[in-house]
Amino acid sequence: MWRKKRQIKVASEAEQKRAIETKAKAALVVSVVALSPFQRREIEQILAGLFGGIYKIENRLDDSVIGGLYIKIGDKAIDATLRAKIEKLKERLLP
Amino acid sequence: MNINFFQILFQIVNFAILLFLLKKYLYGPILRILEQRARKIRDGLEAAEKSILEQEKLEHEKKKLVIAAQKDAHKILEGARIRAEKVEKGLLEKAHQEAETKIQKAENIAKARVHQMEHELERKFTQTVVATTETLLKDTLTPHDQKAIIHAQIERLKKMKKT
Repeated sequence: MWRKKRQIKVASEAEQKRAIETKAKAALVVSVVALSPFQRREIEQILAGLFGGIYKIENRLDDSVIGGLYIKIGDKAIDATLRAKIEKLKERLLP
Repeated sequence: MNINFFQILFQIVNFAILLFLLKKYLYGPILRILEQRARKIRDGLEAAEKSILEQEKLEHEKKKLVIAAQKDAHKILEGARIRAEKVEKGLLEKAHQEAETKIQKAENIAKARVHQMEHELERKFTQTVVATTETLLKDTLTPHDQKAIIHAQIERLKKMKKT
């Protein structure tokens, strides 16, 4: 009986998770090293707070960003990479 | 000694006649000729004097003309000299102005080139600094550093969310 209840509960959790995953919007996060699961969750929460909705992160590794994060959701982007900072510095230095 | 008055008288008359004849036919023409000659000489002398005076007058006139011509020539030369000086001065000023313009132009070109070179040097220097910084960061940042940077960025995003 208990096992049956548990199976029902697990089944409903899995369905819930699937439902969430299907509703979730894709967010591309580019970094030099792979994000930890904890960091992924944190970023998902931040994005939900900033733009609303549920987000699923796709982490792409690219050492051209040098460091930091580049987040892209649809046509919106947050560039918090060292590459962007260097480019800003370059723009300020170049006459 | 007997004095013959008749003979003396005859001699006197004779002498008077001779004197008369001589005066009429010899002295008269000779004196006339002499007088004519003297007049001619006098006229000649007068003419010569007149001629000398004329010549002197002409000489004076000539001198006056020469002096006037010299004055005119001097005036013309002076005028020509002044005009030449003016022309020379004008030409010199023009040449000076042209030279100054060329110098100014050359200076401007040189300044522009220096400015361009400075600009280029500054650009290359910045590019080198940026490229070196990128290389250094890529080479020196460890995975631990990368995680720390990501953590810092996440914290910053959290603050963004709060604001």
